[in-house]
Amino acid sequence: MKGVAIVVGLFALLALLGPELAPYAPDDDDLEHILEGPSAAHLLGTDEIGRDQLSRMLHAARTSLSTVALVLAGALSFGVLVGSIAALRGGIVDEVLMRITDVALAVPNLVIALAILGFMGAGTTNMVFALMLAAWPAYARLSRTLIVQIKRRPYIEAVQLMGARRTWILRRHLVPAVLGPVLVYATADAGFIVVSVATLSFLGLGVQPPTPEWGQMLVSNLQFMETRPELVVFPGLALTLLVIGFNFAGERVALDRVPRPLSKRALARRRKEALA
Amino acid sequence: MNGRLVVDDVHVRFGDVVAVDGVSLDLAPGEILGLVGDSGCGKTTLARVIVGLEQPQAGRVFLDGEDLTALRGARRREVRRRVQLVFQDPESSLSPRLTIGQTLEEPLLVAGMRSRRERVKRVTELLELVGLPATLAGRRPRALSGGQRQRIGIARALASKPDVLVCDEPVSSLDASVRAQVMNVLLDLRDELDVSVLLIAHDHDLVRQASDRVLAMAAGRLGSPAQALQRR
Repeated sequence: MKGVAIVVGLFALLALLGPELAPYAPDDDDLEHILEGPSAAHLLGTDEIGRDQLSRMLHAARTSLSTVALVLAGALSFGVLVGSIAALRGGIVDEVLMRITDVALAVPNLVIALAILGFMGAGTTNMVFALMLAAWPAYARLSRTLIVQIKRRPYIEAVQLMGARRTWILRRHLVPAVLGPVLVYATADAGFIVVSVATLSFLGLGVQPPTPEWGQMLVSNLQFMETRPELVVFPGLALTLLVIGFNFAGERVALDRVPRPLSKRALARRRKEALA
Repeated sequence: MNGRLVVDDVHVRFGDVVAVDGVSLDLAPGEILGLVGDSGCGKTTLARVIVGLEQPQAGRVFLDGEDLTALRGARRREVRRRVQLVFQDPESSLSPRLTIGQTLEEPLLVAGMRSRRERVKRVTELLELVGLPATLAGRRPRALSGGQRQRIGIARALASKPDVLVCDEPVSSLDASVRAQVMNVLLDLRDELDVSVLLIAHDHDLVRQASDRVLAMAAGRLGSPAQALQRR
């Protein structure tokens, strides 16, 4: 959990402070200094209409990260909600919800998102919404399976016997138990969503041009790859770090759930406690 | 029949399998009623019907004259609280995520005990009641022995101030040396709290020692203990 907290915290900090640290406005063009290499005035150089690359990257941090966070938060909450209802209600409700989930899972997420955007029109908000709708089924499926596994455990039945409502059991026992595995999945999914945002923005369906976004910057600067490679390399690097960061964080969470032998110090402490 | 707990002609089927086939019994206040029977004879199913985890196809369960099987909603939750179950397996009956203190606090929270100080006091009382030190409250179940866990299970059941305690094989998963400890805890509780106990086990000797009265169950029906013993 600590690993995820650190990675997410660092990126959150970047999203929060990035635009404040930027030396220029992201759409501040300067046609006398186009496609310049790194200099003291423009640390990462300028793009084809003289906008400061560093400033755009820092502003893009907020766009890229907030879209990913929104998509994940939405997909995760909705998915876990659907999964919980299916698992707890059972019967026909479970059957219907899970068949819908199966159908949605059978189609690639990007295709679903494209179809929804085709229907709703382009734009950042629509893209976030479309990606949420594409991403939730995996969370529903995962949380349903986990809840079905633990809802019949005696310790849950004991809580039923105390006279607790279903919502109490869900809130205090089932959702917390599901959250670990779901977060692991979400960290892996984050990488995929980053790439989806970039792809959709490249297609002109997501974040719209003057607003900087890493994926979209990378793609639109591709034409200058040979003259000014840094215009492509740095957005690419940012995306790569984001994806790798989330994947490492996810792995960390997954590994934390695997039992390990006690360290010598922990072992000594246990012994002392047992003898006391 | 007019005991505190009355079970009236309960039938439970799972598909083609008849688990409980017309069982009636009654339990007086403060009585320990033993129920013996081989594995698979329907003891556990009967226990689950009595506490309300299983709905019988036919028959009723009364607590002080109120039909538990007919209750719904808030009233059901309120009355059901007075019949508690001690589970067979102390391993899976405690949440691995919660500390012992949190586990024992939960029934108090559900029952609406607001004051934190009162809850902490009650948790300490409950631990004392089952002969465990208050320092265990901060531990998680995996740091406890099987016997300790089972006593926590009993303490959790008692937290709801039950009139009837159904113990489903409370000591069968424990070592012989720990069994006596846990059984003594149960016996002391009956004397201290005037709770009725339905003690379910397959160990005849243990049940006979502890109970005021013993019934035997075989293939979903009740018989006298003598019959059950002869069959062995």
